[in-house]
Amino acid sequence: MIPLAEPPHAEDAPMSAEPGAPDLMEIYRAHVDYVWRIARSLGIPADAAEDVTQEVFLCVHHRLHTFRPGGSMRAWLFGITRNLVLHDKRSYARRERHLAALPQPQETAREPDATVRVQQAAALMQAFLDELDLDKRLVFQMTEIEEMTADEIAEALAIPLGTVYSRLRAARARLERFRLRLHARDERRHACATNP
Amino acid sequence: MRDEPVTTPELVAAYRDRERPSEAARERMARALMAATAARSATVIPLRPPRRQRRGFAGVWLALAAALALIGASSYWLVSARQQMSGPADMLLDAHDHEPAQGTVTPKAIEAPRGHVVHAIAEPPVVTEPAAVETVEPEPAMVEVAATTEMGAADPAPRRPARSQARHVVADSPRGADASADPVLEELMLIQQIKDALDAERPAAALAAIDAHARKFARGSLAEEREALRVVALCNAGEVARGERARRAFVNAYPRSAYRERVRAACPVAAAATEQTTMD
Repeated sequence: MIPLAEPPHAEDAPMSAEPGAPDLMEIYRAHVDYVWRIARSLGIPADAAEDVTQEVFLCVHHRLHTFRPGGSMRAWLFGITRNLVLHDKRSYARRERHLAALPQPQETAREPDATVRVQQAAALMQAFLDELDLDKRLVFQMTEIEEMTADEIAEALAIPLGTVYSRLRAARARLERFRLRLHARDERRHACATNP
Repeated sequence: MRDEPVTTPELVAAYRDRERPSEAARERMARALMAATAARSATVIPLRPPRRQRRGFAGVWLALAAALALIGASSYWLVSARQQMSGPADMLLDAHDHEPAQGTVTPKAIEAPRGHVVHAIAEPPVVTEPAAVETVEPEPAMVEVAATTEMGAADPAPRRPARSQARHVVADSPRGADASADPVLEELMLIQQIKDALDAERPAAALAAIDAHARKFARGSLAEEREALRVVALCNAGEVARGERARRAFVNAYPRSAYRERVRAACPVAAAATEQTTMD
């Protein structure tokens, strides 16, 4: 388990909203995808991610006055999301087990090639992320997908900058190996197709 | 599957495109939030409900009082039993033998599941043995940097790790003999040195470390970070023209980098001059 940051507490943050404090809907629009993906990375299934995301922003609505202006909004949101996920994880895990027992829906509609390609690439990235342990996955995801800086990530995860870099380096090296593996597989398939 | 190898930006873009709430879900959430904002009656699962917290503390105090009473009673019983067996003089001679056993009452027993342990440890009555409180677990992040090849190892999760302390150890550990032996650690330490030099406003030292990194790890995994820091270091050193060239090279090489804003802000004069030239 990684050491995770505490979101700022009400008691150690200014109690009144700053005049230039960000608006809730502004925050929602800017960060809804980020919160969704973080919740998913922390183990929330897709069908429950909407509930968690909504809870996060309702919590933001109540605690916006505790956000320190000048701090990283995404680091703060990460703390709230992580707390809610930890709180609800057991119930979601139970629910997921029940849902897993149900038969999976069959995909029947044929989609255009471009969409299929995007789906395949997204599935590959998902497979790669699933290979990583949570520590490296969060750092990699925050860097490459959420485009957060190393300082922001260090703040969000409450880890030293050096640790952010070391995890990022390890994750990138694994991605490179993952890509080479994919390429080799494609080559083999191509060779099989041309020389039956 | 496509013939050409899939690139990292392609994977990232596809993942970002697929892994997000649907438009309908976004709309539903936005409506719920707007309703909550209007009514100010949103139902949120409280992160730290104050009532439960107080109840928890009362329970802890009750348990603590019971434990202390039990310890007192058993100590009294032990003392009287020993006095009966060997007399008070033997008790005085053996007194030091009992010291290690005092540390067995650990504050962990009252650790609350939602992070209240900090308050609990800080309460004086819990601390029956001061040395037990001072026994701090090793910083997980420090362990990780010291042994980067085993980064998957499970870290104990401290609630609020002391960043300054961790940074200190991270900066110190490479100066040992292991840093030069382990290329991974060496690369990390060079990046850390660059950051430290920039934080200390020593751009020349930062540039020297950047050049060292570029020589040893030209295609290292942290080349993107190094080149972003190069722009910052050059501009901080007042070498605006070189900084601007480095910035252009960086933006060309890493168009979607997370550091592009910082890099853009590093040389504001040069950036403004470029924009002016482009406009003319």
